Amino acid sequence: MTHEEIREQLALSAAGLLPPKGESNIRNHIAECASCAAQFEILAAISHELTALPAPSPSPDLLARTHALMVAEAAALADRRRMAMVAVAAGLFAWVINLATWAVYQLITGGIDAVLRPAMSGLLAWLALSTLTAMLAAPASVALASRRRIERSI
Amino acid sequence: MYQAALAKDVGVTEFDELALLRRADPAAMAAVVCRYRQRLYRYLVRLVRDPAAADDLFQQTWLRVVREIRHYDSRRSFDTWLFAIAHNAAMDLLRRKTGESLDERDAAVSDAAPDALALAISAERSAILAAQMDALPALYREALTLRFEEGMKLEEIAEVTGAPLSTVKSRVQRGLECLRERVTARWQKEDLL
Repeated sequence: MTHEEIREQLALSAAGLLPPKGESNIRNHIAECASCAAQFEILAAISHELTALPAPSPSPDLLARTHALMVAEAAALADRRRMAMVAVAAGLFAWVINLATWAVYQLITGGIDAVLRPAMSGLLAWLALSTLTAMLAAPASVALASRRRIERSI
Repeated sequence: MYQAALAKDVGVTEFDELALLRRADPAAMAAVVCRYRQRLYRYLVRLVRDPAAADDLFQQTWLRVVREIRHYDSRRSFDTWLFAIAHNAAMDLLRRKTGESLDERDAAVSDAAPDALALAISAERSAILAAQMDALPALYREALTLRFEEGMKLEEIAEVTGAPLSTVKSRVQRGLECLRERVTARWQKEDLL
């Protein structure tokens, strides 16, 4: 390695980032080159000082506030997860009710179905009923979620 | 609870602690914050040079930990994951701040027991060095802090900063060179060399 190449590596050597081979090249060179040895000495001193610079500490108040924020955030996250689960469950429930209305419709409105069939197919009637059910389920799930939120905030 | 964690200074294994953190256990949160308080805060102060901003970033970092802990891959080092979160928060702040430079323009030491004079000299050298460190571009400060104060390897620094290994190496090298150029004259002038 040339003198210039070694010089470029001095900082890495002082930082302990050279492989053993590179380190050995540096040691051999600075044993013979006074200017690189002087430069390396300063770099090594800086590296040493950097490990022991005066360090600021966080105040106990900051730690306490941070902890309180973390606990509140964790509670808010858990709340959001619960809300999402309630919404999914309400959606699934609405779908089950929707599917069930088809069978119920067939069972209890046979006569009416016969009257309605010319004007409206059975499927359309079922869709109308199931939409009504879903429209009832949506506000119910929202009301349930709001109530739970209010209960938790008390 | 926080005071209790501070007093006993943590006694759970990292695996247990992680499981408790994922369950949002308040005592585990207090323990982890206590364990990393000094290192994380020091890193943030070095990076942003403003204690008030470091306070905000400290809180932001831990809030992100609470939000992201479910996605944390336990095969990764928690240290580098935590510092990467802090790095991202600090970089966002530094980019928003005017007048802050993020640019990259620009062994063995005697360990004999120091006497009073040596301590005084060392303190003075440290003060000069700390002032010059503050004047470095943020990315150099960060690389030097992670290398020398946190004792991280190049690979870990690369993981924290999201930079390639060669870039990290170059930041450490140039940061040290910049410091050498800046402090040599001052140390010589104050007869500290």
